[in-house]
Amino acid sequence: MFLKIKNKFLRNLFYFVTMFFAFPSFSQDNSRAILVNFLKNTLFSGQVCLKNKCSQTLYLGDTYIIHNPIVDDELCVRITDVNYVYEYLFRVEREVELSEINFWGTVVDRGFNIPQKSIKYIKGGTLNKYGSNSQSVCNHIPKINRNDLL
Amino acid sequence: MKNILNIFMIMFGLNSFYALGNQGKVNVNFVPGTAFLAKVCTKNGCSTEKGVGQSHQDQLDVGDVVCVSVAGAFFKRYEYFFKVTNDNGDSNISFWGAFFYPKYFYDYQYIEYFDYKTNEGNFACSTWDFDKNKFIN
Repeated sequence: MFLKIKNKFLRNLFYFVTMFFAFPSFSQDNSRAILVNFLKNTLFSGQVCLKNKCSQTLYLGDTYIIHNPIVDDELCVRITDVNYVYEYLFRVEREVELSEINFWGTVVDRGFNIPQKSIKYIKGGTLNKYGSNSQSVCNHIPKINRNDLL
Repeated sequence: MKNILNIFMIMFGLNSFYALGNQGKVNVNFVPGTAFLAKVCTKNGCSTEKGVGQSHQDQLDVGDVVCVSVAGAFFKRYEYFFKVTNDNGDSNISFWGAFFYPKYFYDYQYIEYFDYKTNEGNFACSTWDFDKNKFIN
């Protein structure tokens, strides 16, 4: 046998100590992230907004990284057309190390998915850019226009 | 020897609990005879427009909703809502027919059809709230 420990106490101690390493345990380190990917076949541009920050305009191949999201954080992806804004609202369901939201497709046929399932798609909608009274699905998440910052 | 065997038995035994937690796959198939384009939306995202011969696959739990949004004329969409009632296996929803009269078939032991809605906008499944699991407004 490969475990020839004669001392009964030492042997029991060995078993006891091994018990703690039988299953991996992860310490809570502060390095979680959500990646919002606009895949290489994405033929539209968009912006990702959280409650207090927005990304720059993202184009095909771009990734926006959200650091240390917490549960119930909501994020809004706004995809812009010539005269429409298409809005997608997501919520963080679980805190995991890495989760992704992938977007692809054309501006008239947009697809997206969440491979890790720690984020939930809540709802989406269309908004007219030019003075329509249509209801926005992410009213509570502000839109930061880059022109406002200049 | 016996001790070590016991430890291994407990380890493999506990391991099986993790394996039991898998979700059921839901396939939405657009079988030959489909003469429309449709998107499939769930809480895990929306597909692009799928046509004849294509399918969409998703992993869902009990109570989750599958929305199949058929593209109609004049930028309207016709939306069919299904609910997962059993996630212990793979299940299928099959669609065919024309956009003004789509036909569907699904596995009764895993899925139930519960509602239909005409979407006046051109945004797939914007009538449904995947968080509260109810229609918007």
